[in-house]
Order: sequence, then C-alpha cells, then structure tokens
Amino acid sequence: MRVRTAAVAAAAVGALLLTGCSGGQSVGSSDTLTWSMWIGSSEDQKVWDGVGGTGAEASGKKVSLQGSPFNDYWTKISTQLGTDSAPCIVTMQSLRVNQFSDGLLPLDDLVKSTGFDSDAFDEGAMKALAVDGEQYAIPYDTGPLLLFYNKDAFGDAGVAAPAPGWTVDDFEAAATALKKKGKTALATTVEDIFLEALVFAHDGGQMVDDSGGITLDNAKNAEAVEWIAGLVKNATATRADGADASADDNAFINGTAATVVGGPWNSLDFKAKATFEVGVTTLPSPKGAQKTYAAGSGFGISKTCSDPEGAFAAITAMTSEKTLTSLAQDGRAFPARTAAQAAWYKNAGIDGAEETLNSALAIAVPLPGSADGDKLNQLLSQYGPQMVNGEKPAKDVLAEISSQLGK
Amino acid sequence: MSDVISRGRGPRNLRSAVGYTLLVLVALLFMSPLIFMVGTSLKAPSEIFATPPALFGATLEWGNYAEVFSYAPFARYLVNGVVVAVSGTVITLAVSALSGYAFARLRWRGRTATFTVFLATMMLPQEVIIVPAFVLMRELGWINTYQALIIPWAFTALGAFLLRQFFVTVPRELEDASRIDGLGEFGTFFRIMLPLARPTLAVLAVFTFITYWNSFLWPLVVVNDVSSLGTIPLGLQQFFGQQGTQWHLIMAASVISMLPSTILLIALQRYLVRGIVTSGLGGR
Amino acid sequence: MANVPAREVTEASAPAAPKDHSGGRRRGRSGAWGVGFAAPHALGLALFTLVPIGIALFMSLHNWPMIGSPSWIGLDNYQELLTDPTFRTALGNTFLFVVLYVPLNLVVSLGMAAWLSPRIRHRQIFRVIFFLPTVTPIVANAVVWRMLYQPGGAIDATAQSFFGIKMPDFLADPNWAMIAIVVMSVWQGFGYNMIVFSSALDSVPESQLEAASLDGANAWTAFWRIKLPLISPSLFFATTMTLITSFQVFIQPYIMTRGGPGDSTVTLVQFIYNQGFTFQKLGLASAAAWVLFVIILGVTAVQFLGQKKWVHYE
Repeated sequence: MRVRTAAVAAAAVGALLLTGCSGGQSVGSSDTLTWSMWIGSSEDQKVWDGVGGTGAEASGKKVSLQGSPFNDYWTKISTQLGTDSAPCIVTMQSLRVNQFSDGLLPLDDLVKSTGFDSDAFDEGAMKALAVDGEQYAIPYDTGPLLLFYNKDAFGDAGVAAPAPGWTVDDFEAAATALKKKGKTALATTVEDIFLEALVFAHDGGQMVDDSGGITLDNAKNAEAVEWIAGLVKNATATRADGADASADDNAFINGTAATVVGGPWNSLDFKAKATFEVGVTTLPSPKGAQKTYAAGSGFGISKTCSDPEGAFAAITAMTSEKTLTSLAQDGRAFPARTAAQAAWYKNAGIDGAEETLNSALAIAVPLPGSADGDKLNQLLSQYGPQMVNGEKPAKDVLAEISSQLGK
Repeated sequence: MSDVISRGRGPRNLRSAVGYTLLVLVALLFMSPLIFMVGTSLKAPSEIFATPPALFGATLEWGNYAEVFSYAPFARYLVNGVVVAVSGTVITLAVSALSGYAFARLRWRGRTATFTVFLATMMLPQEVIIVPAFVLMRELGWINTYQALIIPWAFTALGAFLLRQFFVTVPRELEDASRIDGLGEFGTFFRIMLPLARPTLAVLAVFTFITYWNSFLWPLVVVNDVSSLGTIPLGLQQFFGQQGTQWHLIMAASVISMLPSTILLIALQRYLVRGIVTSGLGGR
Repeated sequence: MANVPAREVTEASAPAAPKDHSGGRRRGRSGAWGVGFAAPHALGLALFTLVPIGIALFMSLHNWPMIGSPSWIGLDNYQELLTDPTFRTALGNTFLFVVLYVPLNLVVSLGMAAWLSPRIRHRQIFRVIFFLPTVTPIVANAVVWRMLYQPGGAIDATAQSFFGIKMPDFLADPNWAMIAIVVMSVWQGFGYNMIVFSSALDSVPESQLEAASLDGANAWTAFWRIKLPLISPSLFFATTMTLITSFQVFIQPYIMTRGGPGDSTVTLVQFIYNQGFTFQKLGLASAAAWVLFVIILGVTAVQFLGQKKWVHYE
C-alpha cells in the first residue's frame, strides 16, 4: 500500500519532469519560433495568437506566443536577450529599442534580400525603431500621444469641445469650469511615455534628448512638472500613483478625472469601459507651439535566433496590410502601415478622431529612447509622485533621479 | 487586574462577558480586510469607490468570479499552482523523510557535521541566493520551466529538521522488533517508521504546499511566459493591467487564491498547531 | 513590575527548544545506509543552496552583467555599496522595518496568545481567524491592503463618511508609507508567533500559578514573573525567526508602493532585485545579498549569545 503510493508519487514526479523538459518551453526547438509580447488579458492573448497564426502560416513554423504583463515585460526581456533562452521574435517599443539593440539583430540585410517594402510604413514609425541608422524592428503600430476627454463632463461644465491645437490657456479655462462642477480635469501619471509627452507638449521640455542622453535637469522639464503639480494642488488634477501605472486610466474611466493622456492604442479600451462619451483632442501646448511625441511598437529578431529568415518571414506577415487592417478594425492599434490607417478611423467610433490624429501626426516627433529607459521609468514610478503631487520641488526630484541614473 | 483564580462568580462572569464581546469585536476588525475583499469581489466596477462606502454593492455580482477566468487564463494559473505545489511537496516529503530518519536513527560518519550545515541553511533567506540561483537555472537551461519552479526549493532543511525531531522520539523497541521480523534498514524505515510519521508528514506537507502556493519572488524571476507558466501570485498581478486596474476582478481572484490554504487550515488546524509548536515554525 | 525574569527553573518543558542530541543507535552496516538515506536531500541542498551561496560570493567580486562576460573587480562592488546612497537608504529602511515590525509582532502575538487562554470559548475558531492571513498569498493580502489604504479606499472613505476626517494618503506619504507597510505586515504575520506562544502558555503548569497566587501575585505579576520566564525558550525562538524573516521584507512594499514614495520604502531585497533584474548588475546585487546574509548571521549570533541572559531551559 505504502509502496504503491510512493511509486505513484515517484512516477508522477518523473513524468512531470519529463513533460517539463519537453513542454514546449524550450526555445531551441527548430520548428518553433518563440515570440514574446506583453499580454494583459485573455482577450489580448486571443488577438495576438491570431496575429502569430499569420506569422506561422508565412514561415511554415509554429509561432509560440510568450506573454507577461507589461510591467514585468522589460525586466523579462532583459534577462533573456543574449542567452539561449531568448525568444526569436521580440516585441519592441520605439522608446526602448536603444536599450535592447545589443541583443537584437539589425534587419537591414533581411529587408534588402527579401525585398520588404519599407515605404509602405509611416516614415516616423520606421525611424523610431532604428538605432544609428540600423533598423531593429518592423512597426505594427504608431501614434501620437493625445488627450482623451470626457465629453459629457465637458458638456455639463459648459466647456466647448476642445478643438485640435487647443492651448494650455484653453485647458486651464476648461479645468476651472470643470472644477466648479466638482470635476477634476486631468488624471496624472508618472509613467514615462505619458508624462514625457505632457511635459514636451507643455513647453518642449525633453527628459531624454534625441541622441538618447538623459536630460532631466533641463529647466523646462521642472517648469512643466511644476505646472502639473500646480494643477494637483489646485485640485484640478488627480494625484499620481507610482505603484499603479493604470491609476490615471482608472480615474478617467470611472469619471473622476475628465481628461487623460493616451495613445491611439488606448481608445478601444476607454471606449469599451467608459459609461460616458469619449472624445479625443491634442495635448495642450502654448499658442502656436503645438507639440507631441509619437511612440509605437514593432517586432524585432533576437541575435540568438537560430532562424532569422523564418522569423523575418513571420514578422512580414504579422505586419502585413491584412493583419494590421484587422488589428485596426478592432481599434487595437493605429496601424504603422499607411494603407491600413483608414480602417482604424472607420472603426474608432470617436467623433473627430481623424482630425485630431492628423493634426497631431503633422507635428509629432518620435519619443526618444535611452539606453537607461527602463531604469528611468522605474525611478519615475518611485520618485515621480513626489514632484507631480507637489511634495518636493520638481527640480530637486529630477536632479535626484538624474544622479541615480548617472552611476 | 483580576486574580487568575479568583473565585468570585458574579463580577467575573460580567467581566468575562465584556471581555468576550471585546474579543469578538477585535476578531471582526481583524477580519475586516478579508470581509471587505469578499464584499468588493461581488461589486459592480462602478460601485467600488462609492461614498459612503458600503460593504456590498446594490447587487451581488457573482459573474465577477466567472469573469476572472475569462479575463485572464486563471484556470491555467490554478493548475500550474497545483502542479508546482503538489510535486514540490512530494519531493520535499520524500527526501526529508529519508534524511530526517538518517539524522535521527542511523549512525554514519559526518552525521553531526551534515546536520549542523542543514540547520545553518535554515537561517539563510531564499532572497539571498535569488541572483545566483537564477544564474544557475540559466546554466541548466531551466529558465521558464516547471522544474525551475519546483526543484530548487524542494531541498530546504526544514523538512529534515522536522522529521528528525519526530524520529528521535520513536522508541527503540520498535526498531528491534522489526529486526527480529527480519526487516532490513529500508524495510524498517518504510514499514515501521514512515507510517508512524504520518502526522508529522502531514504537517510538513501542508506547510510546503502553502509555501509553494504563495511563492512570488522566485516565479517572478524564472517565469518568462506568464500566460502559460504563471502561478497564482503572478497571475494576481496580471489584473493590474495596462488597461486599468480591475479591482473587482483582483478581489475575486484573491478570494479564489486564498481558498486552498484556508480550507487546509480549517480542516487540519489541530495538526498545524502541533506542527508549528514542535518544529518552531514560528516567526514568519 | 518584574522586568527581571524569575530565577526558578521549572519542570515545564520547552516545546520549541532546538536541541541536538539524538540517538545514533544503529550499528554495523548502518554507516552506508545513513549516507544513502541522507544523500538525496544533502545533494539537493548542496546544489541549490550551498553552491548558490558560493556563486554569490564569487559573483560579488565581479562586474557581472546580465549579458556578456564578467570581469574580476575585487571588492569594488562592496565599495560601491558603501558609497551608494540608495543602498544606504535601503539598509536604513530595512532596519526601520525590523525595529518597528519585530517588537510589534511579538507584543501583539504574545498579547493575543495570552488573551486566547484555554478558558475562552471557541478558542479554536479565534485561533484560525488570527492565523488565516499567514497562510494566504502575501500578494493577495498586499493587494487588499493597498485598496484599503488608498485615498477614497475603505479606510479613507469610512473616516470621511462617519467622522468627516480626511485620512492621509498612506502609501504616497513618505511619513506614512513605512508605517502602513508595518501595520499590514503585523496583521498578516503575527499568527505564527501567536500559535507558538499560545501553546507554550498552555504548558505552564497550574501548580506554579496557584503557588504564585497564594503569594498574593495578581494576574499581571503572575504573567511577568511566572509565565514569561517559563516560555522564554519559545520567545527566543520566535524572536530569532521573526528577526531573520523580517530582514527579507519584499512583497509588501513591492506590491503596495514599489519602493516609493521616493525611496522611503525600498528594502534590501528590493534593492537586490532591482540591481539584479532591472538594472542587470548581477555582481552588485550579489554583493548586496551577501551584506544581507552577514547582517542576518550577525543578528542571529547576537541573539544566541544574548539568550543565556534571559532564556531558561528546563
């Protein structure tokens, strides 16, 4: 009796170890291309599995999707790239490509040899995924950072729908009107991409310069952050939460804050969850100096990938007009392929989205990335709330982050 | 200040009634985060931050629990959690029973020294070796596998310590009797000793299971593919998505994640108390 | 008020006293058997615990990037730690946590253990209730508390609705964040020690207490003079274990504050995790891990040396 129990247990463990070893986790197997992507939910998983399916068809190999939540994704990638466990196809964000270019394969030769048509893509989106003139990833989406707003709240407060190109003064006037109705105007965040965009739009302050250097001590950054802190103090903006990257989205969706910074990729989710009508406009800038960043994501190939040709064939299919059109129809990603963009506008379901996007795209510049990008984001989440919430002077906090990055 | 063995009836009853009520209140206050968690897990998203706060929403949204499983591959996390915890526990029990027996009942060279080393590692926090253990996993090619989640922590010294403490107390006569019956060393261990150790093994099993089930830092480090290899604690994080924190789902998922340990605790609490006491598992 | 423990040595057994005397009763062939029985566990422990400790020491003497080859740099990592303000802050925060958490945990667990005496009806139920959070996933506990703490969350909303008081933003206020984490940690962790103390108190013989009460001692003095010395081995063991584990605090701040606001809740383990896995400085992370290891060894050694003064074994 005992013996049998023990034997069963031993067999179970043995079987488990065997399945563990061969359980599809190993990256090296030659008929599979592993593809890593940030995954937030089963819904995401389903959509991206579909995209992976097109890659599988084109490459003749299985594409196995490896997902982790966005917050952990970059840490995971950094522990994998350069080792045998690296995935073949790596999803990259434009602002983080510098950080990982060492572990990625330059795609230029493959682009040339396969006759890949780079011109079909938005030029800025392509450039944003290149480092020192070498292409490291093919973009699937792109988009300028925008300001989503609560149309109902704006209407209640008697504020006219903000037209693209509206100014900081317009925003402040709207904020005052909203406050009278008991509404907070802005949902703040300290997440790199959204904070950097808001600061840049406000006065052109850049936390990372175009060559990838950290320029937090640029006085304009502090000025713009103090402006946000002023809004928080004045109760026209929510307090930032460093531990919860989605606190701003929550505040917007549940109606606490009337505006939030986001990219076109956010629109699907906002529209689905909000119980009010969602509008979209450009980020508030000084009159005549409209600015915003654009950021996007794409697929690259790791240096250790045993079959770069197969991986590139998969990527080509995963960024084909057909695939990107279908993603656009879901409202999921604003396509980096110009031909697929019409599908997004048609399905966005937000009045004025096309006008706003065109206005923003015309002036958007790529959000620069730094080799220390992930550290910067980590430090912003830790220290950022103090400056955005006005507890410490922005100048001091930025200097502190800067000194920690300097090491 | 009451006398411990005061004989006065009336005032003492009153006092103890007051004391008991106070105790119930303290227990309720203590439980309030958990009660609140259950309440929130049954609310509609719009009611979560309602003022004034209410324990329960207007309707009980049992659908939240179903949504946990459709929003994220939570069933997969559960299965992974069980697979990892059960196999980890089985290995731990097997090696600990053997070594505990060797430390208690068998004489061999280097026994004391080995046992001292075992004891010393009990002071060693897992966190200290997280970086080298990760590098080791990478060398073994175990990153993102079940065995990385299971094997490295199946050999902690606690089990050997616990079982040794038990085996030391077994009377020698039993051993001699088994000798007379012609049982060898292994037979004695397997037929005589192991059945006796069942309660201790149960305690060790429960604690090992719970430790695996709740483990967070190690899976965070070695699992790359959370969607297919994630365990419950990693999965809980998933609900802090890019798309807005889903508090009602997080709370429902948390309730689910607490069920196995809660059930084990209630069912086996008497054994657990004994286990904690005899092993000095305290101080977590 | 007797702070000095009573001297009497009693017959009460010390339930949790770790001792190392055992019968090596088998003779003859058992030498090989013993080695064979202990081997699987010993080898596993060596491979997955001892070897990594060694690797950690080795790595700590290198500049060891996540990708690429390591290079020997001697003690530079340790030197960098000394001059690194973040590390010093993490060290300070960890000590602050320990200093707040350990006494609070011990007082609460001892207090509850004393309260839950065998005379309390349904004592088992109370025990289960207070023990429950120790076995549930810390991630789940931390998540719940984060929601309780946040502005507009349960604590704030309750205070505002019923008392009209606006609570501080516990987790975003540098003065409150660590306290908030300590409170949550005590809530979630004191159950173990409570069980240990509770059983130890149960084993205090009635005869001792009767004698004390005849001498005119009230419950308070009886507790201090009789019970406490008798359960001192359990106290010692619990204190040591609580100290060791509290130096490893990680999940609570990781989930609730990510180390913020600023660096006010960054702990040593989070420093190790960040350096190793976010910043990819495996050598520096290993050095920090060794510092943590040495601190824990030191604290444990002090505990063991100090025990002679106040721990009374049978």
